[in-house]
Amino acid sequence: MRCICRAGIALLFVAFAASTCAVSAADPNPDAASITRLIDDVIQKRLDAEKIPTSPTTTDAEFLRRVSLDVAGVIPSPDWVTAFLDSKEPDKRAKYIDELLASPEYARRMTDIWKALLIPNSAASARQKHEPMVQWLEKAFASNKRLDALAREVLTAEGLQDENGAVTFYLTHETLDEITDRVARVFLGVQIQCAQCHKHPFGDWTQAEYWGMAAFFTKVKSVYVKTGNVQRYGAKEDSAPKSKPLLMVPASLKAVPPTFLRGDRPKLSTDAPNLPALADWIASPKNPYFARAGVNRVWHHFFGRALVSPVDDMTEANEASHPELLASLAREFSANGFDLKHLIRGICNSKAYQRTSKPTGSNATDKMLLSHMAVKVMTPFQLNDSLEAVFALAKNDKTPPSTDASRKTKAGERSRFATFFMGEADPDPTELQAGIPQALYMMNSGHHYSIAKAANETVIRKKTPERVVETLFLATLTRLPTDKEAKAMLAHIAKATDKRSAYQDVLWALVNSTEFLSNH
Amino acid sequence: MLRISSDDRMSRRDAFLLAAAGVSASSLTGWLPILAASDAEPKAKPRAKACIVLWMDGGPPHTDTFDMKPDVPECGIYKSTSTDVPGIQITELLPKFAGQMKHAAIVRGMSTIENEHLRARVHLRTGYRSGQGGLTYPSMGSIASEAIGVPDFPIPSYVAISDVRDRSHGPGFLGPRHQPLFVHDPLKGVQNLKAMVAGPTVEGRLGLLDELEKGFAGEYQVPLSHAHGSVYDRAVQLMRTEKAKAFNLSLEPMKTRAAYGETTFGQGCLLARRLVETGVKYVEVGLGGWDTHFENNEAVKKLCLTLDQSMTALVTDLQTRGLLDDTLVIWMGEFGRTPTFKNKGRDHYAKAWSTVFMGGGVKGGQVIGRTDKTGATVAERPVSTADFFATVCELLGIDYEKERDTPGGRPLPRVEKNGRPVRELFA
Repeated sequence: MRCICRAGIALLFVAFAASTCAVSAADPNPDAASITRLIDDVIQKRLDAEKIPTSPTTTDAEFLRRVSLDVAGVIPSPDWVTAFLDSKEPDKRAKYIDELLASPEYARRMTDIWKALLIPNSAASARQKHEPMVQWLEKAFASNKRLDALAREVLTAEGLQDENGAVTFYLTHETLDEITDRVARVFLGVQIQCAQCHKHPFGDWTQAEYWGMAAFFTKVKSVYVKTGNVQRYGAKEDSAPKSKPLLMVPASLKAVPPTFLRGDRPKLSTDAPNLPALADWIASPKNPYFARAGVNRVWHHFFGRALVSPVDDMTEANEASHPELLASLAREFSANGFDLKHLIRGICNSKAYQRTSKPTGSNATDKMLLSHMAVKVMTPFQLNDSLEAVFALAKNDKTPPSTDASRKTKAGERSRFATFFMGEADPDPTELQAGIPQALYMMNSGHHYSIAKAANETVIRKKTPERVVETLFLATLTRLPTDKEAKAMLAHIAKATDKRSAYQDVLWALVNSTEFLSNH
Repeated sequence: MLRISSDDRMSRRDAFLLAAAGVSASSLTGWLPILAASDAEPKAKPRAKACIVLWMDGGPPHTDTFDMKPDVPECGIYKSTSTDVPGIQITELLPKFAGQMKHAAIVRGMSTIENEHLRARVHLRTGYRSGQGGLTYPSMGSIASEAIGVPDFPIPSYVAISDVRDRSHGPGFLGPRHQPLFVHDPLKGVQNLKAMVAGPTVEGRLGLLDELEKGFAGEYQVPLSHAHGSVYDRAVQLMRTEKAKAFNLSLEPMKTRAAYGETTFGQGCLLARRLVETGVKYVEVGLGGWDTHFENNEAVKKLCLTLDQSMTALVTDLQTRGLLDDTLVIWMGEFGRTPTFKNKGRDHYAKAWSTVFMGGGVKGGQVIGRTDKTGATVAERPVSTADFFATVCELLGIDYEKERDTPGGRPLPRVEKNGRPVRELFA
């Protein structure tokens, strides 16, 4: 957030040229135009066929807010909004997308998403350290580790947790079936858990397929090292029969040799590890599930609805909204070496992604064909970081620079906030998860002081009521107030005896609004 | 009103919620009494005015609790004990509750069809199967909120005291008005009820917020606006009501608090009683940890220790206060567990299991239905999920056959068509 919130403007426009070079160096193929074309051709053809009109392209302000939240997980600062709106560069949107993809906030946003996918939200998992995985993922996404490499390294992770953060994946799972379900959902985009006990009611997975997949994980054992008073934990595949498995085996276990989903059985020696073979099969360009699951997952986060929905239930019975698009994107994704930034760049530059979410009368009922963008709800992390971005308005010359200790406190607060706002696991991105307790928190909690400080500092800096209100709108909603809104806010301030309190009321209303909470 | 295209371009649920948002746009964030549609109900005479569900998350084993098979060694190591009702035996692990059997009716013939947690939770909380017909179904709590909730009551009609939260608790197509209020920790209750600024300032702030909401709702036309408005409306109501003190357990005498047990579940049961007393219609209290694939015997023993004290305290307390006749209490999980062991664990088992009904409208001191001698199948009086839901509805005076328009426009009965109440249960 550092670069996005305050120093953003300098970084963005002065460093445009330099950063584009930096991106090129890290990424030999930044031209994602073929993906963009693919998306727009298929989507337009379908909309034409169904005679559904498209909504217009986003305004710069709408685009800026959306892409900042989607790629970097945070809204832009008011200075940044003004600079972007004032810029006359014709390709400023494309440049901005590259800029965001190169920012540390991109790695943090992807880490938030993937940590939730890879680490269960269970009591057993809560007893383990998660931080090593967070750091491992941040490094992976910052260096744009390809998704196949990421999957392979997670699946074959071994060693001590403090030396290899990826091993957290195994340490936070408790049972064999739990990890089998997760690997299927996250890396293959299918739910096979029902097949644990009987044939799946809708999908067609068999019990033998389920236990064949589970069998790969039976050699994962725990590693424990004690030096002096320091205890260290880890995991490792080990075929010695007397060593205790890390993952508990449920009673429903059917003894089936390690088998890939849909039947192939790798040649594995009993004293060699299983997981390299599984990882090779899963993260292979030949795997029919992996690329599709990856594309569907990214699409889900950027469009608010996966091409196949639910995002992790890609059965034949569950038809894609654009089957040919899913197939071509999966091909492209695989051909580009599972390069996530490349895929995201292609998506963000598309007309479909850049359409406004305001319906145009007759396309209001379309929720699937992308005639207009879905309105997503900020995730708990996006909400936390965006509130922080708003409260950064309070910063002035006297604000002390952040220290290691203050950063640690912030990280702790961030995680507690996210836990409190977290709804169900893997929620529909367009659905409000917050309930009454969260609304009460937003209205009445300790944010009170942050709101007051941010409003007060803005008043000192911006002088006139009009400019203060404008700044507060830019900082929260990434746009200027409408005439009607400005009139209402200014009237409220004019009639107040306590002016400072009146400005705080305006900021309070802004951060409590549906619009602030939404990524539209 | 919005027309829904037949090719389902928009999810039916969205369309329905959007329509709802449009209809109520004038009171979107409101801060006015909510003009919730109140049906001409109830048709059936209520036998109970409120319901407390004790939800044993993970699935409790019937042959270790309420359907003992003392002569079959594979069915479990625990002995059965006599109760205050001659001829009815339950597990020795619930000695206190054995003294309250006169209030309880055991249904031993539960026979359902979902064996996996998430799907079974949806099935046993909503009465329908997950994904069936492309709809998201309302939970029983949301149905109660819709059917017997008092529209302008300042506390949500449905409160879920649970640390596990998933879609199966939700209001489905009934919309956010009937969402449960989640309480994660009964000791903390509902926090942040007090505004940081004075009353008139709150009013001013809400006025400004309303201004912003109108603009956004008009331009973007998303169900989100309606959902957000509904949540804020109810949060503000809760801030303003004296009744919210029902959430404050520190107002209870220490003796009462101790009687319920110093556990999250125990204090949750006490909170449930306070809420029902104050007018809440449906409270679910969760006790997790019943997924005993490993070390079943130890886990069940520990859980029963908690359960025995708290459930007994709840029933006796409700009775002492004269609330038991009006309050239906149900003990249940999402399924039972295999009557045999694999290693030291029991697996999920939907084919035959038990639930217990107590209080309002229930004729206590009886057992309904029977499993075979090994507890594996239902030998007599099977009760399906639909039957179970019809029973709960009938006890609460909710017309279970009433059809409602779903988002697709297709009318759907509250309970699946083949459901019939277990009338033997009724007092």
